[in-house]
Amino acid sequence: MTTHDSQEPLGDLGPTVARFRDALHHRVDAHLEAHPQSGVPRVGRDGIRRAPRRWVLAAAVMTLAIAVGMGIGWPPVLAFTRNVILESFFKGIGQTAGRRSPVAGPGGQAGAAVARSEFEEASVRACDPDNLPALPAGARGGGPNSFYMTPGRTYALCMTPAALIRTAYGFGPGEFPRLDGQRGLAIDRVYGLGSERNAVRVRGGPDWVRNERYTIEAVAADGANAAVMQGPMLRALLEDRFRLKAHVETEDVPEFHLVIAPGGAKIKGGACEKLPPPTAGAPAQFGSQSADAVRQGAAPFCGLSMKTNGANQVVIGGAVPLSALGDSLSGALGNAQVIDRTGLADVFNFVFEFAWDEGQVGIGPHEPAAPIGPPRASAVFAAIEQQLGLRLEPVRGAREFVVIDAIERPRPN
Amino acid sequence: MPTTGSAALIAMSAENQASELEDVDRLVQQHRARVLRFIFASVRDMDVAETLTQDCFWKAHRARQSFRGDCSVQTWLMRIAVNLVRDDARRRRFRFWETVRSTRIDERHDWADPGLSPEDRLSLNEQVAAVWRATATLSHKQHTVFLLRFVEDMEIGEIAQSTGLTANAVHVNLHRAIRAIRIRLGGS
Repeated sequence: MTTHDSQEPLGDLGPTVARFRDALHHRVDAHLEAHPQSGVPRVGRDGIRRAPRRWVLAAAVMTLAIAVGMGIGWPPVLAFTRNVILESFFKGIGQTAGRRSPVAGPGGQAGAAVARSEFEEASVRACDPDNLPALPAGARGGGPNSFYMTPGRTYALCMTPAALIRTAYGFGPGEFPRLDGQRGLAIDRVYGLGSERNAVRVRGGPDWVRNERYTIEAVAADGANAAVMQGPMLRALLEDRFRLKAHVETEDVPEFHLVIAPGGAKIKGGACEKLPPPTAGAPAQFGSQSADAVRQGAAPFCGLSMKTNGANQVVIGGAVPLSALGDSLSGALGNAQVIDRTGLADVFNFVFEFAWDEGQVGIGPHEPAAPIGPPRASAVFAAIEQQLGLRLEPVRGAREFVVIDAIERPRPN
Repeated sequence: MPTTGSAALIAMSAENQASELEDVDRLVQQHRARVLRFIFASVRDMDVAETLTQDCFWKAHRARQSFRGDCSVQTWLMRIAVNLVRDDARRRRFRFWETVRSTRIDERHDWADPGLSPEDRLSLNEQVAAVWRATATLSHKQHTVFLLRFVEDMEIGEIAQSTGLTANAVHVNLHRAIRAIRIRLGGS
């Protein structure tokens, strides 16, 4: 074995290595001077942090084209779409997140965060309203109002406090059952959760609760799952940083019962094309599914997808329960709850197309523009009876709302 | 008694180091540049380096109770950083596009002090870029010990503690790293 001196002889390399050393010091010092506050990554270790380069996109598109052409199928397409959304999401997080600091919680003790189901460390930072992160083309998730969790980490990108409160209390879109039968938001899915500006589930509080946006990056102890992070941990974070005090009230409000029309239901079950669970908030994944093809007998994708067709909203169901159809109609009915009272426990395939009220914006990707726009469909009440043999009956029912008692703008991290 | 005095000094030193770990802001302020520099030189991507640097301090803060004081805080932080870089390298094997892109970006970077003349900057940039490319061909261990030794000026014993290698293994890896870089730069 060769022995070496403690000072390895660089010899003629000495000056060059010294310049290399100085250059590295200069490079990092310049970076630290430009980023004096953080030293902070702002982004988790999920691997997707930067916007894709053009050649990556081109390569991905070519790969997808080859994969689809060879009959490999759609999963690569879904993975690609998901990555674009994640790229956009983390680019936004990188632009807006701040430095994390320990979460003290209502009790003021940071050390026992794990035992109290609280995040251990979090960053809460206001988003510049004039410089919000861009939304990836063709998707609802990945831009402002997006929410994403990985095991032990939670990210909210430029969300309003109202939407955060709604999410923390389990009244967000994630309250709907997922395709895997579970409720709540899932790990590793980017969700577009809206702004809650119309006070659908959160009442009271100052105007800024629905107008200002904040980016949150929070770290939990190992093993924290989605339900705990989305619920108790997020609530504790809001109570700590925003000094949130809120309670849940039950009100008697208008809602709708979905029942079978007098002529009988016109829906039936059937096969559906199985796909991996869609990335929530990314309806572009379903953009290729033709409503006409499904009407003519093609198997729809499993699950519920929504797209716009001119002034019409198209809902395509593949082996879904009618409760899911009811959930999808809530937006067209003033955000009123739609409860399935058909008594039909099976799952069904259907295509349902109805016209939005004037001025309302549809959900999902637009169909390609036609020289002459598609004819305006019937309003939702008539359309659902004509097309599906179902009826929406207006009733009143109890519904829970979060009422803000007190809230403050967040303290600095 | 002398032994008691030494024990007290050691205990006091460990206590001081433990309290240093309690103050995260101060810890980051004192060691951020060094940790970031090492990680950046290892992963060659400033975004990733920033992320791993924060993870390094976060891990240190979480594991502060397990710090036994048998090495300096700086050495301990570098040990965490070395592990983070190694883990990141494992993950990166499946992310070829990031490797290619970040290398291209950093090769374009102007390394030199803007105060230098254009000719000096060009010359310096070429030399630095050559070493930068040469170090990219080293094995992970060689790269790590090279950076710790010649960029961070750490002693062999400290490098051994940071990397988990024996002192002799550090010597061997350093020797091979220098030889590989010399060959890459056209020396003999």
